[in-house]
Amino acid sequence: MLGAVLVVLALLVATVVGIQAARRPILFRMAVRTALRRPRQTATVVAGLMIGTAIISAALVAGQSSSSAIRGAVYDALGPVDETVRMDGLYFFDQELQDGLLDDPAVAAYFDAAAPNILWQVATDNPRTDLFEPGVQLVGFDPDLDVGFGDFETERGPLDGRDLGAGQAIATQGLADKLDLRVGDTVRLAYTLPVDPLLPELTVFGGTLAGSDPGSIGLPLPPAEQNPATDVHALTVEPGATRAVFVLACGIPEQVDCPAGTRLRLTATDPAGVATSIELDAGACTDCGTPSVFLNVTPDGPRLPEGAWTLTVQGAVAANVPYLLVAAPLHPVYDLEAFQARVQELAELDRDALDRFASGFGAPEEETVRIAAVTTGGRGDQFDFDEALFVPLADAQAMLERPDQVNLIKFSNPGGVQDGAEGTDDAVALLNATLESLRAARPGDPAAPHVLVNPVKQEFLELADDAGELMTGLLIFAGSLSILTGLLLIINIFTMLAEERRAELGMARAVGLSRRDLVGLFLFEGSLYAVAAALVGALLGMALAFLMVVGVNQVIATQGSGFPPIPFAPGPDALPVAFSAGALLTFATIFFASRRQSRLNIVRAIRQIEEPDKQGRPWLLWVGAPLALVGALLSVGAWIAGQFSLIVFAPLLMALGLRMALATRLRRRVLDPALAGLLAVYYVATIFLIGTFDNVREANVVGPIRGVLLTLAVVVVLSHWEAGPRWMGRVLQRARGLRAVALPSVAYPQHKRFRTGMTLAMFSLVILSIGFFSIFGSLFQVDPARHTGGFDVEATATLRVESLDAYDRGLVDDSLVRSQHELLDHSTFDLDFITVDGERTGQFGPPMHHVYGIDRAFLESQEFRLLWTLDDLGDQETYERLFTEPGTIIVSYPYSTNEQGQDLAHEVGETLRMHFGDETREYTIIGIQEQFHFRGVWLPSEEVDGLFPQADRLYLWDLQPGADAGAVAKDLERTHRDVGLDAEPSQELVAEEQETFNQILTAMKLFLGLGLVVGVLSLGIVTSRAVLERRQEIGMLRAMGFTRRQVRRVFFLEVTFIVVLGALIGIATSIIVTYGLWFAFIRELQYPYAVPWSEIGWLLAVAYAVALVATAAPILRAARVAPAEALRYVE
Amino acid sequence: MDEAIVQARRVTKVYETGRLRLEALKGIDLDVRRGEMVAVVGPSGCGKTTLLNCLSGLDDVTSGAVTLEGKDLATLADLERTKLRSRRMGFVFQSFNLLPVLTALENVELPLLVAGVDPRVAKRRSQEALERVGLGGHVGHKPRELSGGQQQRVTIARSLVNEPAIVWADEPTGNLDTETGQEILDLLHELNRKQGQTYVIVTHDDAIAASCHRIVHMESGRIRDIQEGQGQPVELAAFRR
Repeated sequence: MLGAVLVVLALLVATVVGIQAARRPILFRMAVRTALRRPRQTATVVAGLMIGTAIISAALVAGQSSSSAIRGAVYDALGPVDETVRMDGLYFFDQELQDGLLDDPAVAAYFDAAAPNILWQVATDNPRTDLFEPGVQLVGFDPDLDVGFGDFETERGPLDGRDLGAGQAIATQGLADKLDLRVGDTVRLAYTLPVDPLLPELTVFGGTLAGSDPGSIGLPLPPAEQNPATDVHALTVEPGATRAVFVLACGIPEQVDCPAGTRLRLTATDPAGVATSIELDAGACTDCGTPSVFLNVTPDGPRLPEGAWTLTVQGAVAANVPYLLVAAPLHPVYDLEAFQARVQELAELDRDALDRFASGFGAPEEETVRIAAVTTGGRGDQFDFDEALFVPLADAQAMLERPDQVNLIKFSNPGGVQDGAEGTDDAVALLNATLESLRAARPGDPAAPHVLVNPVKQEFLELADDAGELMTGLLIFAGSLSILTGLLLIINIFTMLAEERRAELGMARAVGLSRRDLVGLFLFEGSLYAVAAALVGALLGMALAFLMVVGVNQVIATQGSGFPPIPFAPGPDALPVAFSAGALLTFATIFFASRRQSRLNIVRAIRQIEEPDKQGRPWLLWVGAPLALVGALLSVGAWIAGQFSLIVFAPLLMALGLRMALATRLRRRVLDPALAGLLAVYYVATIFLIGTFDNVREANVVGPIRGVLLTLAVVVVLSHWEAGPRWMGRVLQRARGLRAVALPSVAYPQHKRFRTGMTLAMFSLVILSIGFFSIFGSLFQVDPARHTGGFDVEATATLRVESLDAYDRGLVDDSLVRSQHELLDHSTFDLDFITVDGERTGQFGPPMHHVYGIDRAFLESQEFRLLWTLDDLGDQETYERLFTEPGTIIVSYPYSTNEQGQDLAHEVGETLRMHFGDETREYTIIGIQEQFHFRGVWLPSEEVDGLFPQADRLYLWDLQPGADAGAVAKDLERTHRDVGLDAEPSQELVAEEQETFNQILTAMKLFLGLGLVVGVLSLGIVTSRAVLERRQEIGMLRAMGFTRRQVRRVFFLEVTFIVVLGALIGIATSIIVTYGLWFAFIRELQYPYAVPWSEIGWLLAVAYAVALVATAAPILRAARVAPAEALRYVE
Repeated sequence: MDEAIVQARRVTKVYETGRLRLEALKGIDLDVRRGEMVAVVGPSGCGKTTLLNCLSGLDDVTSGAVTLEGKDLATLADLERTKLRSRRMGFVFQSFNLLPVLTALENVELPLLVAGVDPRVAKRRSQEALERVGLGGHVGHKPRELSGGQQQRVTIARSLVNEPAIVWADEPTGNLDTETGQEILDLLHELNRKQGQTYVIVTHDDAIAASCHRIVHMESGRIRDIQEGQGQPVELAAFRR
């Protein structure tokens, strides 16, 4: 949209300029001839003007390329798959639903292909090589239907999978590499069976078993009619239950002792008369505080028979013993709100035992498959699983004990991999309509309402476009100072052009051209330059983007991260948009520069007499005074209200007003530095006062802008400071080699104040931006242990088991481990699941939330420091508070940021909400952690367990000092290979994250290096102009006895003067700005403030070196000037 | 007085620009004697400035030889010629050619600094030189803050501050009104008398020419004739060290 506006605006401006040119052809002819008169100079001007366009173009194309890379990855990952139909959490649903969907005539007619899948995580090992891989995707596919999604590519040619026999599998190349697989190998799979989000419909029966002589009764217990201790209960099972758990406990609720020798039998008889029973022998019932008998009734089909059940409790007990029987038919509950309600209900009972069934823990299952082929691509790449095993759907269903169920159906729209996504809206509408009718036909199916259409390709493509726009925005933001520098260069160039032609312009005015004509003359000439520069700049930007893409691809290749290379993919709009934006920027700048230059005095111009320091016109007083007053009032108000943006901008407004008002009385050479000096002092002061404001949220945007203003103010002061350069010249004169050259070197920059100021501003802004990123990046290089809570190894397991210890092969040296902890870890990609103070939190890293559950034992080992605590309690007290005060929560650092990524947007004491459908849970944030490695919120385990019974586990190990975390992680994987443990050395992960952060910063600095190019180019152009302008003076110096070397030295010293001064200003302001940010934000993170002097030193050295290279040509040319020729020189 | 400080023998200078070939000097023979003031006159384009540039070593000759104090300029490297200029010559130009960014004092200091004189000494001597030309009260002024005559006085002070053997002046009064021009001329004569420097003055002004000791008339790159002027040559013995 913005692109279109820019193009239209550019066309509009071009039309206006065209009309004006037609009306004043003489002016246009003059402009064209001037531009063509000196092609070399014109080329230099165009080179200077094109920088801004090049940056815009580079940012645009780099953004489009990254978007294209992600789009490409999406196409690679999904192949022909456009939509999926599944439940959140990949729960299983009946194949009837699938059949209904696939058999629908409209669906069958519309889609190119549709097929059901089962996706399930398994752990694998290859007995032949003894290699194992914990996280492998098992893919069950329908051999006939899946053919529509292409063939598996293998080294032996394409394979459609229809010939795959039972017990056979196709492995991906990634898995084959990991396990050193060959065709024919047998692979062992370990996995847990899938569970549904089951919750019990509880019915509690109580009674008392009559006492008898247990010694005379053995097992099996005699039939009920022969046993006086028999109770019979009737239970109605509602439709939809998948199985039932019955728990029988004796001695409850009175907590009486269970007599020795007690024997129990529980029998459940379904409506059809089929009985299932379990008996308990004597001795097992010694602790009556815990349930005694568990009976798990699992039906043959997917559903528990509904209707009237009979539950019979029989006992052989020595005395009358009370008992409690809990009947729990388990119902799948896919609706989160209903799920929570049931959880509350359950929480009222002692439910440890029930949880074991409901949460799905169980012993790992084992199965073997034989590798029939290894796929290198095609359908084998679908969903982008690196390590996967493809097995026939029936095999997967049998392995997972889910006959006639699947957990995903995939669809391919008409069209190819790329254009198929265009039909997504129609496809989604069709699938939703079909699903709706299927749901209506299956009122009792609890899963049906939650089986949803997911336009997976379209969603990922939208994410890709967002990422591309983000990249473009980021680069343009980072390059904004470079663009600003480019604009300053344009002003500088046009000022120099105007100065050079003063006599000519004066003559033009003398023969009747109006000021407006002069502006027109400049504009026509400028338009020619702008068009040429925008065109070349847009192309150059593309070249730059190409180099960036090549550079990034080299980094990707070096890191071996597995990311595919980024394609260089400029969109069709890149060139016109960059061209229009560049041309408009250049044109606008030239317009303002032209207006400034048109105000020349005819006589002075013709006689080449310098313009005096002008005083302002009277009307300025009437505009300036009110502006100054408004600025002053706003400044006072800003301080009272603590409004940071106004604190920065209102005094600027006041200074501008004062400048206008006082310009009628004071000379600008006095006024400008005085006001700029006051502003500079003020801005430096605000940096140290910012910590006193409450509302500093906008400071991370306005802060850098203040840095730019501070830089410009310092430049204005220094470029007006006459005594300084003279003093410096006198000091330099003391060096024998600089005796003659020192004074002219410092005097010229001082004399050409505007030009020097602009060049200094350009150079210092560039150094400011690079210096800022250098210092800012160095502030976050901290000890990784601070982000891992002192833990050394973290792990997750593919299989859900109640205790890792039960699957320990004893391969880890226990003396290396100081402690081990198990945290609950519920994660969700739903970014709206958690809000703080009513808004999303800023997440840097994967866009997901984690809810961690911790126990008290964990508190004793962890060292996750809290940066802020509610009521200023200590860290330990705050963590304790989690357990003693319900409704409190601790969050990791990212939760203090808001959606725009602003730090410290949220504070302790604010309300964090978790959103479960229509229900919301509220917590008060009592602590904010320093770490952002385990990004999430922290609650007691019990609470997390209650909220998310299906939560995963996160395992953490604290090792003895000196232990090799990487080696221990490998050993832990080996020792727990049966559960597919995936362990990583935590601190190495943090170090890698920091490295990634550093690489992003480096990329940013390199991009900002473009600004350095502008600055250096500017110096080259200014020096080139200076040599031309001062040819006669050079001749004079040579006549006077200056050697060529001395002439060179004059110019080199001049360049050095500007580079060093600009660099010092840039470095000083970047230190001040970063110190201000550190003072306001980072200080509290307890990161020390430090300036990376060696990096800064390198930066300055490189800046100086390239400046010398850029100015070498004109300087050498100056030295070669023949004195007689130079003295005669008239341009 | 008979000693020639500058000798030119069969000097020619040809400018070639693309296809254009301009013979600016066509076999010039000229001796300039130490302590005399020589005026070079002639119509525009006759080669006066070219002659001055060639004799002073600012420009190379195409053929022939120029010797200055016995040194053949053609045999000197650029660096040696530059040093010679810095130590033995001074220049005064029509357009003053002061460095606009430096004050009067700093402009005058430059030749001394180039010659390696200590900055403090250079400053003192420059101040004295400016006082000699009547600008003792304008040392801190920049050229644009001075009148044309004052600027030319600064130029003269600059040309004399390092006590050169010879001063080359190209239209020194060309940009000045008659009265100021006369003042400058008087100053040059006075300095010639007091300090004994040799002056070669290119001028259009007959009065200036007439006031010199000898007048070289040029026409189309050649010396048409050399006349004696009205000026009286100084006694050089008084200035010999």
